[in-house]
Formats: sequence, C-alpha cells, structure tokens
Amino acid sequence: MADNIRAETIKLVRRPAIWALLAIALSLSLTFTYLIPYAGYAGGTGGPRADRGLAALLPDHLVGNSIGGLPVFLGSLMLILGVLAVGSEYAWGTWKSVLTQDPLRPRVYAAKLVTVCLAALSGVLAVFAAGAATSWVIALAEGRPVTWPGIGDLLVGVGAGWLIAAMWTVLGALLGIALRGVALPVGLGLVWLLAVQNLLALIAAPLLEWVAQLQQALPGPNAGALVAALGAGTETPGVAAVVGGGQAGVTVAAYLLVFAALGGMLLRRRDIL
Amino acid sequence: MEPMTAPVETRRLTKRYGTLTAVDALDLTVRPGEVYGFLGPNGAGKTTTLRMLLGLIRPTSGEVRLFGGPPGRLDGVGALIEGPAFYPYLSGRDNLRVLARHAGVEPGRVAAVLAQVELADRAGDRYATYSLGMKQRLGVAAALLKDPRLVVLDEPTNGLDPAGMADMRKLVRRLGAEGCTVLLSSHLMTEVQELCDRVGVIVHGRLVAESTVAELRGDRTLRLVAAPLEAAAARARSLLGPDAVRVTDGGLDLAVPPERAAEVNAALVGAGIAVSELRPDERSLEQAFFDLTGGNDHG
Repeated sequence: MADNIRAETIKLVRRPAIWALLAIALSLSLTFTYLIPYAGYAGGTGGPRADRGLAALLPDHLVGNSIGGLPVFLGSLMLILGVLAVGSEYAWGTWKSVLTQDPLRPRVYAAKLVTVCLAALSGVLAVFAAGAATSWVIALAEGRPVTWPGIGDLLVGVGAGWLIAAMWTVLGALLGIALRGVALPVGLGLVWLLAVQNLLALIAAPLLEWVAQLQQALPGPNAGALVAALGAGTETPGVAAVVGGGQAGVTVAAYLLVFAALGGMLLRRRDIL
Repeated sequence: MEPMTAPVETRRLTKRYGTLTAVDALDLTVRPGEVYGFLGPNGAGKTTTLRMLLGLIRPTSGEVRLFGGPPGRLDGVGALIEGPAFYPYLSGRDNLRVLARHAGVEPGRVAAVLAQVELADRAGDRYATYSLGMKQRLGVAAALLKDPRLVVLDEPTNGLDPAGMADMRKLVRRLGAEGCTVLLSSHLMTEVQELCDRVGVIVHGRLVAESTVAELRGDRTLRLVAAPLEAAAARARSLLGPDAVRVTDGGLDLAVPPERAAEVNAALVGAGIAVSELRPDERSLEQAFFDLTGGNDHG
C-alpha cells in the first residue's frame, strides 16, 4: 500500500496539469475573495461585494474566506483533480500496466484515493496560506490590527474544507471510473456543479417545495451549509445555511464514503479492456 | 520429485459478451521453461484470453491457474498486453519507477531492465517523445521488472522495424534460455516458427490445435517435377499407392518420407520419365495455420 501511494504521488506531483489546477485555484480564490472586494473597497465603487467592507478581508475571517469557494468553484477544480487522477488511467490505457504489476485492485484504488485526498488537503492548505498572506498584507496596508482565528477554529476550518474538497475529488474519481475516461466525466461533473446546482437552488427550490427538501440532502447544498456554519459569506455562490453545520458535515462525510465505495465496487467488478 | 506446476493452465475458460462467445471452453497448458506461441487470426480471442490470464478480464466461466495458484496473484509474472501504455508526461525511467513501486520491487530493477532492452540512453526523455519501437521496448522493460518466471507478450514485435524485431527475438530467446517461461501471441508465422517450442492455435475462441511446431507442420514429404507428368503420376501411384500422390502446380506431392527419394527416382527413370526435380518438402507453419483456420478467412 505504501509503495502504491508512492507510485500515485509520483504520477500526481510530476503532472503539469495538477500544478495548473493549483495555480488556477489560488488565483481564482485570491481574486474573488480578496482582490476584487478590496479593489471595490479601495476605489469606493460599490458593487455586490464591496459592502462586505474591509472587515471581511482581514485575517480573523480567514476560515470562512478560505473555504467559501469549495461548494462550487474550488469544488469544480477538485472534481477535475479526481477525474484526472483516475480517468486518465482509462484514457492512456495505463490501468493494464498498473494492474499487471499489482493485480489487487482494492489496494491500488485505495492508494489512489489516499493520494488524491492528500492532494486535496494540500490544495486546501495552500488556499488557507495564500489567504492568510493576502489578508495580512491588507491588514498592514490599511493599518488594521492583525487578529488570527483561534487554532481550534483553524483546524475545524481546514478539516471541513478538506472534507468537502475530498468529497468532490472522490466524486471526480467515481465519474472517471463510471465513464472510463476524462472528457465526459469532467464535462458532466462541471455541468452538475456549476449549472444544475445553481438552477436547483435559485430557480427550482423557491418554486417547488420538494426540490427545497431535496436540497437538504444533496452534496453541494450541504457543503454550502457546512462552510456557511464556519463563517463563509452567504453572498458567495453555493453558500447557504440550508441545514445546520453538524448535519451538513455528517452528510458530506457520508457522500465521501458512498462515492469512494461505489468507485471501488465498479473498478473491482468491471473488466479492464 | 514432485512434478512442477504449469506456469499457465486454463480449464474450459470462457468469455461471453452478450451473445458473442469471444473465448470458448479453452483448455491451455504452458509448460515450465517453454516458449509457447499463441496463434490465431485477428479477433480469434487471443488478447481476451491473455487478459483473463492476467485478471484484467473476468471469465464468464472456467478456471485460470498461474503456477497452480488461484487467480489474483501475479508474483513473478510480467506482461505486455496489446501494446505499451505509459504516462506520457513522465520520462521512460520515471514510468518504470512508478510501475516498480506498484509491483513492490526494488527501484534498482529499473536500471537493470532499461539496460536489458537497451533504452538506458533515452530513459530520461519524456515517454511522449518516444518512437513506436522505443515505446514497445519500454513495455517489455516493464514486463521484466519483477524478474519474472513467466512473461506474457502480446504481439511484441508490432510496430517494430526489422532491427527491432530481431532484437525482440533475441530477447525472447535469451529469456527462454534463462529458464523463463514465455507465452507469446503473434500473427507472424516466421516469428513463431523460429522462437516457439509449442504452439496453440485459436480460431473463433476455440483451441483447434496445440502441439510442437514440427508436429503442426506435419510429416515431411517429397516434391517431384518430371515429364511427362501424367506418366510420372501413374508410375508413382503404382509404386506408392494412389493416396500418396497428388498433382499440384505442375508437379507431384508424394506423401512418403524423404528417405525413399532414391527408390522413387530409380523407378521413374527406369520407366523412361525425365526427373528434373526431387526434394524433401515441408509444410510451412503458415500453410498449416491456414489449413487449420480455413485459409485466409479471418472472420
């Protein structure tokens, strides 16, 4: 298992596309969480996020600011990470190369999941670190006191962020296995995350009670409720307290386990053609 | 002494895709230390069989045993199935490092197998930049990582130039000489004829023959060209019996051992027939293959 994790780590770390994903995650996160609101504040031009004011950009809001993107746009990037790690094995035909070296599919699959979940954790930590640096610079530039969140809040924030990131990553892996490739899983995954989720939340749920009820059970809204409970601004797309934080956390964890189990079952049962 | 367990043994191995039977009750035995040629037209079920041996495809029914063990273990088994497949962004060396980790073998094996397939000087280059021949050699290198007792090679010379093909044959011979069992699928008759101790022929998913190359080619015969041909055929029939004589391509095929050449010659010359050619003849493996598979019908 440790050897398999090392193998998977080499595959991920040496892959330029993974670093591109991280760079995009960091730049999007900083741009929409800090730079645009700060520019709005500094320029006094108003706009939807300028009213959050400077206070929301300071270090004490680090947890909410860092995990606010995970229900939708950071989540999308995490899903792509999962698809790339698993779907590419189909696209390149490399499953046969791997599984003739180690035919124990559950072990190979578990190593893959551990590795992508560690990569997801690294991504979450990188977003926290970049956010911390940016908010610190803003606080210094504006002459505000630098107050960091407590270590407990930070740990809970990182843990919750990781849970959500891991859920989307493992969903990506599941889609990669189910659809045996990269393009279709990425496409369908993004349509769900970026379009269907929003349509359900903004159009269907207000009109139909059963859709509103369904929202409370779906992965995206639960991720949104979890980050909302930890201080993410509810004006961020996908962030809304549709259920309590505890319930949301349990639901997200349950989805993570279900996605992982389904992927493992499919990979184990199906022929590698 | 206990008999050695067969490296490969299948019992009534079957794979169905809906109504299509790709592999049909296949009984295959590969003996220790032999180079076994697995022959068949395209679509006969060769690759499906090899994938079932390696656990990549689940049989519909039947049984696979490698070294007597149940399926799911590939210790000491290396394989190259249907062309090489690697991570294009990694170098050849890093690709092997990844697979060595998966296989749980010493990282030191990587340099050894790269040297074995003579790829060491390009091992640092990205796999995506490799020629077809280099990719194939890297595939063989990966198959050798576990220092295997059994190597399964599916059409290993596909895409190789003549020099690459010669290298590949050399490698297979060396593996065989070192006591490694090789299961080699191919559609190149000369390759199989040259390399393999025994051959299994698969057609429409069924094993239609399994024997040595020599047995498959059948008995050696005599080829005779003489004039007048009709008189020669009549004399030969009276000497050897009517069933032993066949008129083909302006000559006679005589189903008798080559040792009777002098006797046949004397009889024909004695009957005033001019003999212009008399030589031992042997069916090529290719002819034997076509006889078994029904000519060039690759359906």
